[in-house]
Amino acid sequence: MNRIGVFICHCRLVVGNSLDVEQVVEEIRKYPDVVYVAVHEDMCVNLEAAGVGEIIKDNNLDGVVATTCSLSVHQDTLREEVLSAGLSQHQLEAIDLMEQCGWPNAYSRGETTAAVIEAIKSAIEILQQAKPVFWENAPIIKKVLVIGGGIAGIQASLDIADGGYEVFLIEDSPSIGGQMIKYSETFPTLDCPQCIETPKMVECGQHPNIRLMAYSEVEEVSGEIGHFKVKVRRKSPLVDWDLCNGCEECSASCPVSMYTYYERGVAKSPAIFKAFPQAVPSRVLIDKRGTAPCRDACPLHMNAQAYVAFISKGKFADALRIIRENNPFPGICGRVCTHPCETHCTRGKIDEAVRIRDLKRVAADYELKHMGEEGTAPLAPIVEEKEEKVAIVGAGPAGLMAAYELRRKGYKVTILEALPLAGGMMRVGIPEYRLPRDILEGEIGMIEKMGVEIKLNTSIGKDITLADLKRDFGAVFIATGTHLSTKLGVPGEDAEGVYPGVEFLRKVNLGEKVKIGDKVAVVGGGNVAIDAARTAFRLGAGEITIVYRRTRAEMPAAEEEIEGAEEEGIKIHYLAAPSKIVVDGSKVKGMECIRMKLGLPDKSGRRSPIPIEGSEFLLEVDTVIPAIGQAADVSFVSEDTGIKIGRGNRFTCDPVTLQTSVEGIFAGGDAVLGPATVIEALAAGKKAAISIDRYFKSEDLTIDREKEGPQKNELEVDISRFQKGGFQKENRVSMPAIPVNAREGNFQEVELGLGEEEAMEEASRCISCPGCCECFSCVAACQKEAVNHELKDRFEDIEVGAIIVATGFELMSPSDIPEFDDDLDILDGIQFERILCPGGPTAGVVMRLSDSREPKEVVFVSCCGSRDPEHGVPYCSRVCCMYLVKMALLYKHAVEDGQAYIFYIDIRTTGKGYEDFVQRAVEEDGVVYLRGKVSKIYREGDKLKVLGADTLTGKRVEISCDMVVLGMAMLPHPKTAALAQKLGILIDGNGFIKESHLKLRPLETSAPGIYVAGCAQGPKDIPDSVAQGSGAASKVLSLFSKTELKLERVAVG
Amino acid sequence: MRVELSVKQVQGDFVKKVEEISGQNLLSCYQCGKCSAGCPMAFAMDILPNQIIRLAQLGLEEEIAKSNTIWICASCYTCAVRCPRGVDLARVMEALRLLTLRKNINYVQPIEIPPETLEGMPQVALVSSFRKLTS
Amino acid sequence: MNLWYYPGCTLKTRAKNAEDSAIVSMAALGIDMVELPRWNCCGTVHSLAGDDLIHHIAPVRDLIRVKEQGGSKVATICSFCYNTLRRADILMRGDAEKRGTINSFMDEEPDYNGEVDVVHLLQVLRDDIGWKAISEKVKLPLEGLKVASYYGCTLLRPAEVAIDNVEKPTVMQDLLRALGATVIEFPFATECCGSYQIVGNVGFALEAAKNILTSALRRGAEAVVLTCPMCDYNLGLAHRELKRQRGDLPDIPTLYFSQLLAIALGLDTEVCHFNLNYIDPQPLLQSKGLIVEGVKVGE
Repeated sequence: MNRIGVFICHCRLVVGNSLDVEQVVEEIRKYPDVVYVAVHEDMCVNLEAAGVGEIIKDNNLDGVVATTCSLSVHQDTLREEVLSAGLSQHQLEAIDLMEQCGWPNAYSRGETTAAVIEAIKSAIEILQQAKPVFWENAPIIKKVLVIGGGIAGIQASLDIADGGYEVFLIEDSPSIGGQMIKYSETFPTLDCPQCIETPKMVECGQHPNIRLMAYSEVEEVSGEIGHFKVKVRRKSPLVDWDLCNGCEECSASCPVSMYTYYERGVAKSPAIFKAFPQAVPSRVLIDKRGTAPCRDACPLHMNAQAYVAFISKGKFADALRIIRENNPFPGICGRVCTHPCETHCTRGKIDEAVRIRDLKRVAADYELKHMGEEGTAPLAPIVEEKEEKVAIVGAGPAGLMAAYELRRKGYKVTILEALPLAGGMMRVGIPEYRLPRDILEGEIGMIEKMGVEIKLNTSIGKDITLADLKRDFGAVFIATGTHLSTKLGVPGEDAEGVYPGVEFLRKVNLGEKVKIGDKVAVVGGGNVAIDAARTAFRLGAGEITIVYRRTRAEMPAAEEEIEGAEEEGIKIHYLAAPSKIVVDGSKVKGMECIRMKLGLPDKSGRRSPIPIEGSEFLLEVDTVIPAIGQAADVSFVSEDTGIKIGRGNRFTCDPVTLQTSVEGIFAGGDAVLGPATVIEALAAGKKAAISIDRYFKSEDLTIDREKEGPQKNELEVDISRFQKGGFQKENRVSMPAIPVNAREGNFQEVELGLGEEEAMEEASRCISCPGCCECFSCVAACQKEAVNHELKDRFEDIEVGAIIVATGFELMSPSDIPEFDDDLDILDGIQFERILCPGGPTAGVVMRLSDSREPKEVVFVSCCGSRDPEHGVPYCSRVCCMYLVKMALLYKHAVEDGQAYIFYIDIRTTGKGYEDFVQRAVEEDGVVYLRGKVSKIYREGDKLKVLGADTLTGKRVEISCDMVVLGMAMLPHPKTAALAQKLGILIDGNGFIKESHLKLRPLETSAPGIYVAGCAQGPKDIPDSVAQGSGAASKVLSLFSKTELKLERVAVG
Repeated sequence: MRVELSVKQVQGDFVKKVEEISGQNLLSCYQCGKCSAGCPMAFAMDILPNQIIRLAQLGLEEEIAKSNTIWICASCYTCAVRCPRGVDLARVMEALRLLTLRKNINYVQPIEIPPETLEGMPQVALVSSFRKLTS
Repeated sequence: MNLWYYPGCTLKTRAKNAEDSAIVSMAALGIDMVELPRWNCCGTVHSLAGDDLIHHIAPVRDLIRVKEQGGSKVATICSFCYNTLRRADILMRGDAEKRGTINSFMDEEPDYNGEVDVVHLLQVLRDDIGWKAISEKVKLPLEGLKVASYYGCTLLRPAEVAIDNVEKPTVMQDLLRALGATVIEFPFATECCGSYQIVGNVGFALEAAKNILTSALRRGAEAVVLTCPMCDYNLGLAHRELKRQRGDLPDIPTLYFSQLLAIALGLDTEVCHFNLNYIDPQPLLQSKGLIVEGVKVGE
């Protein structure tokens, strides 16, 4: 184009003040291809009078540049004028002085003028290079997509649907209703959303023209006005919603109790739940976040979360069923397990770990007490009988577990046990007062009943050789344990009256008579030492002293065992070690000890003991029980077997498969690990069984074994709710035990176990950190077979002619105001709405989250984050003044003798009936307004201290209150920016959807065919949101009233 | 008692000087009182910090001069970090102090500090006090 | 690794306990703190007046000393020094006009254009060494010692110099946890101790300081851990005053973070100069088995 005309619109008030039009004309006149430049007074409002069309024709212009104060207001009329003069759309470049030149910002007249000149020059350049455009007729797909099912989206959907067009309504959360449905009552009329919004929600759900897609997101968008293609992600609720009928039988069956999103940390729900009673669609979903750390920590992956959850609900039989899925020894493990689960328990990061082990025992004991022979939770059935035979050497936990697992698979299993009784260390190491024999025998008996043969009194090497086994059985598993005691290495150790710890316990446990003296010294700090001392106590020893070379902090024995010993009057002499055993004739007469002091930590991380020279002292004792370590007896393995024995007489085997150096011979448990724990031995037994099964099937022994044994836990748990001020720490319930004076002379079980009610209470301390516990009760409970834990997200493609964005808002988090404590009794507005709501988690009873007490004084704080460009958002959130006073008034209605205070800066009551409402709260309900901000809120005892100001009196104000409600700033929904990008529409500086013109095109976005309604555009109250919903609907209806669209296209080439 | 307001005060030299020395726009303050609410020394002040800035906005120099507030301020910056409007009130206080100190008037007289006070006092206390409260 | 170190006046005299324990501890952690040659007074407070440039000369000169040595980072222990040096650096980086004037005033010196990062030692511990590495070097965990960390003003305010979250800092608690102590949170960890008002308005300053101590005591703290010699003095005086008012009040000594660091690292506690603490922390430390009378701990 080379005949360009420039039209400068001028008016006295606005343009005249900011722009030197003469200078503009002078500059532009010099520019090439410009054949016409002129200033036209008030051109924008009357193009005809300005004669624009005539000038275009007279000057034979092929390009037009025009300046306007606002493009969005004047563009259409300008375009009409240019088109009617015979030019086409691409021959016009209009300049927006506000948008492009900074007017009417704080620029000087000179700066504005320079900017306008630059803008006109660019426009001329664009025209010089412009390609011709043409118009294309395009059909309109008369369907609309509404994104967001809050009140604005609902209103828009209903209006369009009533207008006869098809609506796709997609909602991110599992139900429509938006934020409004969470409120108790709404200002100023105090009607409740459950009454006034639910009819609209139900109508949306049932309207023949509305296709509701809840729990869905926009994945991709293409196309333009008239024909958008949208890919919708239908997020998996792990429930097939086509089958689900919302009966909530699943929720009733779910043992989990957890904080879910809908109640904003105010109340708990099952892990499978309906968002709220009036949810539309009336469907359930599962909240599953990963695997619990307790389960990953367990060498057997026992589903602790699930059985603890069942116990919390009093469902002990279900708990036992879950336990038996992984472990046939709940009675044993429920008593003696070293519970790595508890070490990793998330609750332990909050106060104390849940007593997972003791809860397991409760489930096992419940069976004995209540379920009788036939009612027991069955062990797994044998899948299919097989011919192959397995020999297991040693009937300890590793051997028994291997036998159980192999028998389940159908193998013929024989266990050879050297001792006259089965159980290994569980029988001859752990004393009866910790593990009663009927429990042990009962659970071993269950293994025998499965068809496992246990040959007692059968020693390898003596009664039968390893070679015999190798010949007669297809595979051998050696689990012989560590049954020898480590020597003290001091003079006098062979004297009469010295009983090595392991041998001492074995003899007592096998019922042999052991002559114990009156004064007993036990040497060592591990569980064997404590077991030996407490056994000696029961055998009638008068004075028992444990001698340990370090301090209590370094003692490896279980804390509860040390405490038990102390209760029984056993003395522990810390920082001492024996230097010799004093012998009178052949008998022990005393033990000489030397005092130790602690030096710097050694490799084990414990501070190493150093003898203090010359500090020897004598303990007068007649019995010494050294219990400083255990070793394996491997004398039955002759060299010709080819089985390698490693350091410390332990079997050398592949750590992944447990196969020894000889094919088909496996080893595990203490014999490989050194003295370890029952649960580790069980895990070894299970591992060996997997290997032996594969060995028989000639499968690879090594692949896919990573999932065995303890796993690294990947779950990220947000425990901030439990770390807030006001959270009441709850220590674990204590374990009842028989009194000390009833323990002497017998081996009765000391720990009585938790009662069923105590157990339920203790189990309720579990916070269900991963959500769903995968007990799959919901699968069984659902008669429609709708629950499907494997269900994946799916995608659906839809085509629409227009889109309405109604994605709403989210509140800024109270934790974003760092000068206020994070506290359970400091709530955001919606949290307090839930507490006020008659249909809410407290049934409308106003209470504190910290201690469920009724708050007598409540402080409401306005402008938390709003109007705070330094720390929050610069804008006013518009509704806080009103909803805070509404909540203050509702609080006063609920707590008549309560006092409400509202800190405010300005009270903004700009809607119908709003000012009256505020005055009513002040005059009738005595709400006290304090004009000023709050600088600090912190907890002092059971009160919250609020430090604020009342600038009207010029006083600083301190209020000790029970609860604080913060009027947090309204922010765009967190997914707004990502959605806007997919839609190709602009957002404003605060992240809300940008409207095409703030005043005159508030519902249009920057892209034709895409409209905005409600809080997605900016903070507003319910009446305004509803009005915008209807407004956006009318925009769509107006578009759909056309038969086709004229779309501008640029010519190619 | 009424104070008389006129363009002479509101647009006067005093306001300009305070704004110039402090580098703060006094009109940014919307008088929410958060500075006063959180000030750790306000218990000892006869006029609250937000009132000082209000008086300064209006150019009421003499009212400020009558008050002990600016001399009690410990420049701890609690007000400034919490101010929603980004007003650095510590700088405003400093500017107001300097208007007096620059007339060669000391608030603290080094010579009058009793020896027992000086005993054990860290250097940093003395130097900062002199830097803040002497001319 | 070498680290340039600016001590300032008080650490060389009244707060030798902070300095020596820090230097020896850092050496044990593998960092040699090298005292800056020819350092001068930092000015103690940052001048807040836009038309007062002369008072920025002193801290800028100190930064030039670092630059001269080829250093690009300088650490402080005293919170006041940290604040003054850091703000001088921010001013010089951000305001070209003032930078020009200040540099031209010192024409005998090289120009300073913001080449030096000013850090506090707590930042070095957190960012350069890390809590995990520190906890691995702990030889004597501060088990059972209940401590409240007290930050005061100048490490955190104004916001542009804050070494941590302005309102809810955790750096000192994190350090103390790494050393094995039990951390007591209390609401006045960042409240002003009264600062320099202790000189001219001693009564008012003590009110502010007493508020801090009593709050920490109410929460069950046995000691207050801090970084600033001014806070240390004010809290010490306040403690004396409180004891005079209420004789049965338990002692709540203040300790520099570096003193506890030295103890936990198992170093010779002579470097802690407990005699310089306003309230003797030794009975408390002895009761926790952290120091032994007459015996070098960790022997």
